[in-house]
Amino acid sequence: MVPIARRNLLADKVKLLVAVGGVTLAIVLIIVVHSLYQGVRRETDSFIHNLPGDIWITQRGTTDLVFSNSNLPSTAASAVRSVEEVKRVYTLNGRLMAFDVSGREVRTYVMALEFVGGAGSPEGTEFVPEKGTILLDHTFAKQTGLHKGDTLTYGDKSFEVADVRGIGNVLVTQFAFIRAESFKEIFGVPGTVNYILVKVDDGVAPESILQKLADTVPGSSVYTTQQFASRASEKGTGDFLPIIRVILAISFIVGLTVLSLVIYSATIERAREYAIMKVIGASPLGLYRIVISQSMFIAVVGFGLGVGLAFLFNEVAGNLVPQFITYIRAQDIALVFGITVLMSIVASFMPINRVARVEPATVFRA
Amino acid sequence: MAMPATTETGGPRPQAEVILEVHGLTKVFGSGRAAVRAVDGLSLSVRRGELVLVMGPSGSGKTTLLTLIGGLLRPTSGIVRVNGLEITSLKERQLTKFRRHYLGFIFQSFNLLESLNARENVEAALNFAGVGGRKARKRAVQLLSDLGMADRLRARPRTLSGGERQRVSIARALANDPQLILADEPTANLDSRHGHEVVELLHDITRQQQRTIIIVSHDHRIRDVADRVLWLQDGRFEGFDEGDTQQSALLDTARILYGASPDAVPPRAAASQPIAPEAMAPPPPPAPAAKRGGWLPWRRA
Ligand SMILES: Nc1ncnc2c1ncn2[C@@H]1O[C@H](COP(=O)(O)OP(=O)(O)OP(=O)(O)O)[C@@H](O)[C@H]1O
Ligand SMILES: [Mg+2]
Repeated sequence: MVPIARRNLLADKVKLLVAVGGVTLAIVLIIVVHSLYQGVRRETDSFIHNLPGDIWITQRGTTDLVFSNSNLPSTAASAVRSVEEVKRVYTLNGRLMAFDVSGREVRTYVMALEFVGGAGSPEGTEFVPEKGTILLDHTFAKQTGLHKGDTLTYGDKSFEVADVRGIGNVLVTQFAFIRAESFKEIFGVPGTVNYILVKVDDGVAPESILQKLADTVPGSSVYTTQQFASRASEKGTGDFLPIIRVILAISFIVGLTVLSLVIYSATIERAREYAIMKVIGASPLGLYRIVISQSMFIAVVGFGLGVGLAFLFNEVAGNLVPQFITYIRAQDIALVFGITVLMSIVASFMPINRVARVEPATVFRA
Repeated sequence: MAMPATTETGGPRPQAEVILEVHGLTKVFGSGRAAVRAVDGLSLSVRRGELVLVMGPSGSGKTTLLTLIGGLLRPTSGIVRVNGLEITSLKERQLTKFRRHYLGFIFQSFNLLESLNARENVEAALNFAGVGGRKARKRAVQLLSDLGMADRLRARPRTLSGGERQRVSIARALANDPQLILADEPTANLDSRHGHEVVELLHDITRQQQRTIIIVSHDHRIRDVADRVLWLQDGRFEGFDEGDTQQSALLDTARILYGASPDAVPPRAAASQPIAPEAMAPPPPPAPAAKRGGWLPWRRA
């Protein structure tokens, strides 16, 4: 078969370039913005999973770690410990804190994990530094220029950086850890803890004791770690979602507009050729296929370039701006491909309509 | 609808089958006071292997007639039958199929697809008819080579001369082996040498391949090779008075004689003058005319 669509496209390279450029730009925007969103979600999710415990107990109505509060009576921890299926219990406290680093203010979300008690040796010791020290997230360290051994002060308290690791970066802030004693000294509201983390006995399904724990701690919500991780990563990014949707919609419209205009003008320009093809026996369907092929060709090339450039952009941006955290999933690429195809189909509507109305008899006019 | 058999003009070959029949064909553009009767009750029948030349002043309806025969316009009334198939009653899809397989078109402005090379232009027509791959390519190359375009297969239309472009478009018109070829001013955009080549080509196509060609043209050279010349004026074949069978017969006889194939009528002195009705009547009555009289269409009914 003669590749009429491709020949037509290649005959006007400027137009082709503009169209491919427009689609590429749209795809890059869509993928980057979406990968940022996914990056934050994934980081929140894995942060929660890395902490010890199979079950999270929060104050009722708490949605996530950063944007909402959770306060439980500290007596609840011992009540939970006495539940039969519970093996070990921890408390987790946290809040956003501004430190002073040689006259400069740096803000990070400081947490403190404490083993309350139970059988066997506690997990999560890597989140419990020595007294007077602090664990920093490497993104935060990079962003603020802090290194191991540097000192952060808060009022009359000072903390030496004990270690810099990947702890948790959720774009708006990063997590840091200090010892529970220090946390209490600084912010401790006597008689309250923020979260209670529960490790269940071997062979016990965490789901099976959620209700029991909820009854034990009045005014609480009890989740499996998996449930709370999903909830927190969902709600922790929920506030961005509308903005992200707007950016995605704008990107889609930009890509669609450029593609539509190019395909439409290319069709108008060749209206006579479509009429000629009708005269010499091309079926309308065959002509529509030419239009769609052109649109698809541009869209798919734009998609390919867009995906490549998005990866490149994320790489470069991640190096320049440490908290720029992205995650591109295979299913998101597939989704964007779907969007690309949709774009090319929508962009073909008007041109196809135009081709349908081309009068073959006009080709006899010189 | 009544069929005015008296206005038919007959073909010159008694044995050949009728490829095209037109009865009472009328096309009115617009309506009311602005209505234009571009084609006005035409009837015509053309046989296999005939080369018919349609002449007439600008705006007389020549192109409209071709587009009606080609199924590109719907007539206001009347019938067009190609190879026994009444195309005026076909649906759009069937018309497309019909054009694909029965008709070839040649245009004044060539109408090639600019982004395709010569070979691809011919190949595309084959593709539309469901012939693809190597088979289509081979046929396209063959057709172009037969027309002396073997070394220009990969050239884009823009780089071809007018004559070459018209040869490509002739190859394209022949691609699907059509019985009937419709050509609108095929030589008008060509210089005299290339125009002459094209005339020769079209002549060969009718004689060697037994195809039927209807050419609309002002080109007098075509009259030299045409089997018949029809003169169109205000949408009617001039020289026919529908009420006067006798006069029609005489005029038609004249037309046939003057327009007959070269072997039938020697020097073209008469035919090379403008074909006005008064110039055609009365007809010289040589023997061939009498012989042909037996199958003249108006005697058929
Ligand atoms: N689509 C149309 N709409 C309205 N009027 C039309 C249309 N096509 C043709 N006509 C009119 O019909 C008449 C015949 O036109 P046509 O093109 O058939 O003439 P022609 O004999 O081919 O002329 P020329 O030698 O200039 O090509 C003209 O008066 C023309 O203006
Ligand atoms: Mg015309």
